[in-house]
Amino acid sequence: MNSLLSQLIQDPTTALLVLVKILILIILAIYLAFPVLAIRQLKAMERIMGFYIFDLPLRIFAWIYLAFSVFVFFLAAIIL
Amino acid sequence: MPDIFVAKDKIKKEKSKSPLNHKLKSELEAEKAATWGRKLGVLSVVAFRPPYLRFDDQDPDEEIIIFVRRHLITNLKWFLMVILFSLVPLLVFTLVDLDLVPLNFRFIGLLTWYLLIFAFGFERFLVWFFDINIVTNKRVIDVNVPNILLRDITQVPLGNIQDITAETGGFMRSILAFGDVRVQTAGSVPEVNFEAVPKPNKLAQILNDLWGEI
Repeated sequence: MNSLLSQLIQDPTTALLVLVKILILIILAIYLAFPVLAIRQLKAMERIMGFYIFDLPLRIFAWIYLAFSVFVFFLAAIIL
Repeated sequence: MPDIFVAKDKIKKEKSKSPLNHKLKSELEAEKAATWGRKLGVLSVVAFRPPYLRFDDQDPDEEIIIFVRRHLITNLKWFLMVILFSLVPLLVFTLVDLDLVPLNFRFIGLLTWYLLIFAFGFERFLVWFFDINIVTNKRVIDVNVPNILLRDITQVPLGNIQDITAETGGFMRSILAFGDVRVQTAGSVPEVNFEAVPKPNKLAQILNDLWGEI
């Protein structure tokens, strides 16, 4: 914490970018819960009511969405 | 032991207990099938007697009469919001000088922004997709999904129905012929609402016919 503060004083731009990077990674990590929730909700509807309402395209879409979200998270961790 | 003599009244009662009356089977069925169609796809709003729709606790003699969702136009509000939010980065990049921000940060920021917009749109779509009403020859099922974390399923036997009201009000609703159908019940759930469904009067008519059977 002290080193971060001293870095903030010495080189404010770099320290600020590090903080923004951490913030973006936290947002993206929390964001990963959303596609997981969507997939769980799609499964839950089928389990509870047993409806067959042509949701296969949606399920495929939700999995692609999860994969893309994970990809963006790792991309942010690497390139920032 | 088989019955040798069966009273005429009993035969009549058994006939009247059949799942659907003659009127619904002949005249109305043809009309409704022509009006609403039977196909059920991802974006289907209404289907009359959908052939492939089943649910877990459906009785063997239970038949799905109608499957209905909110009208597609009810998605317009969030759809326009998604388009509007999608244009925000374009405005920011043209109006604000972002030279101080490194390119990799701009790129990831842009991706994060669009992911958030997508999450919003997808959540709204799923809420619309799962918010369904089903009318069978035995009960009314209302699946209410206010958001992705909440789910509320109400089942009302047709015998518990007290009153059926169809409402169409407002400019958009009058033009596109959609509205609400309110079903008042005698059970623990006082009312079941079919919100923004297409052709509410015809749906109320079907419910009335089924209710009259009980």
